Amino acid sequence: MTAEIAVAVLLGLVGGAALFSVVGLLRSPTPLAALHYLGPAAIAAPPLLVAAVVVSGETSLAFDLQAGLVAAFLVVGAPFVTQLLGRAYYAGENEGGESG
Amino acid sequence: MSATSWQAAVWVLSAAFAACGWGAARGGPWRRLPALQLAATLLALDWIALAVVIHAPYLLGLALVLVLASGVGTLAFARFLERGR
Repeated sequence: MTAEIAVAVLLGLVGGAALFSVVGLLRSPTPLAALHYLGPAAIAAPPLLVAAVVVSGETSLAFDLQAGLVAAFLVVGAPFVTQLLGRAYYAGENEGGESG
Repeated sequence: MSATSWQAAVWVLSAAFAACGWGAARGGPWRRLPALQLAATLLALDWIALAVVIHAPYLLGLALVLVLASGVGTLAFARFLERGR
């Protein structure tokens, strides 16, 4: 029962982070501001989701490890992608083009 | 309760993905690109949750490929947009 409650709480946090990211991205005034909202879904949600997978105990070790691998790629890759997106936007902006 | 929680997570992540897809379909290219990246992230999370619900470990492989391909794809789009200004 305790594990089920923990899983529900973790999944609730995952859903909250995802919705926060989407709402923030859709309501952000500029593309650079929108980049900030990639973080919660890409950095916070994956470890929480993997924690829920592990805590639930319904899956095999291989399943847990594979889910952890996906989450690791998300967590490690997201800052690089966001940084490079911001750089590309900033470089394009300073060349005098129209902003998106 | 656990199965219900996972199903609810799948629905919430699917709804977030749909909203993100809507965001990726409007505005200028620099507005669409972050939405596209977020949509890929949400879809990968959705597939992990769905893999638990329907006991389909192969979805984790798909999620891994999606994460890798979306990162490279987003950066390629950004490069083209930067040059195309």
